[in-house]
Amino acid sequence: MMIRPAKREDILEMGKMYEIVAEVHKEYHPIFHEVENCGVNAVTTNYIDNRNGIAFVAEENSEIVGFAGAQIKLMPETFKIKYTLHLTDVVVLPEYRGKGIGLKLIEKIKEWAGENKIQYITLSVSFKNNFAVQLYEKAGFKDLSKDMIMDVD
Amino acid sequence: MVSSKKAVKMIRKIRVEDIDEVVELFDALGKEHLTLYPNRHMYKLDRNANENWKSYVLNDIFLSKEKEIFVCELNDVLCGYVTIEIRKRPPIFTIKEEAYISDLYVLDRYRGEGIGKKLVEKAIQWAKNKKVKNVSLEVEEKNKSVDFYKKINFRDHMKQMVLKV
Repeated sequence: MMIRPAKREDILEMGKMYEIVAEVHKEYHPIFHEVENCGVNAVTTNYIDNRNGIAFVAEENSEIVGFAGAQIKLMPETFKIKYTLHLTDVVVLPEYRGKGIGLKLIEKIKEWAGENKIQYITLSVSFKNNFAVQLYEKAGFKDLSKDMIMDVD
Repeated sequence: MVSSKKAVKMIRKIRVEDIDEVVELFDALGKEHLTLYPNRHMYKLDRNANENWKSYVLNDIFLSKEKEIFVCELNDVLCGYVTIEIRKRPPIFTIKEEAYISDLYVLDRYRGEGIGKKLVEKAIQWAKNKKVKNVSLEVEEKNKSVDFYKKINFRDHMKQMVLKV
């Protein structure tokens, strides 16, 4: 298995994988509903065309089996830290899960953050997504806070 | 107690002449967070946090229809404020925008009188007028205000996590 930076040629495969996750997120709250077939568009604007975005793919037998993407996020000027790296996607194809590929991808993102002198990696994950929370805890993420939401009618 | 019954309490939009008093409330909010979470390094405030926030309010919030501050005025004293804004979401989502409450603060000695609730209600009303379907906010898991937010119908949404590089 090889981990390397994502390239423009990868967007079709990454887009398909992105849509697998979007399907799962949909069940959590209407706020996660995405436009149909948005995968390619999402990975392109988030990671390929975005100078503040970075993605790594995991390749096995020259096939992409997972990817992780992150974007630099500016903090309000009231904070001492000026920006963080926000981990926005970690996806591994179902049949390749349980092999530590997700952890390796996150490790790569962490290395990239270190090389770019970014002190903190942040992420948001649904409370209902236990599988992902466990992965992030294994990768060393700690609880920071929580988002609460109210539906307005 | 008699005097407090006569007190005139008003929730209203911020005005330019309120700015220094509201900055004091912002400062008190930051100091209270610092005592509650002394080790929360990611949210450490900038040395010039007050000045930066003041200029954000004057140059950004005052000039925007998508951002607002409501204050609670009680006998000529500002005892609390709430900030709310409309946030655009990436175009891949079917819901294109939502409202976000970034600060809510009531001075310690005025708590327990329902001022926070009134401020949030006013902010939500403002959000409704902007036709958004959701209002969200970020709060520390252990903050007492979590119970308050639950009481007024907020529910858990996303867990925020952090990794020190």
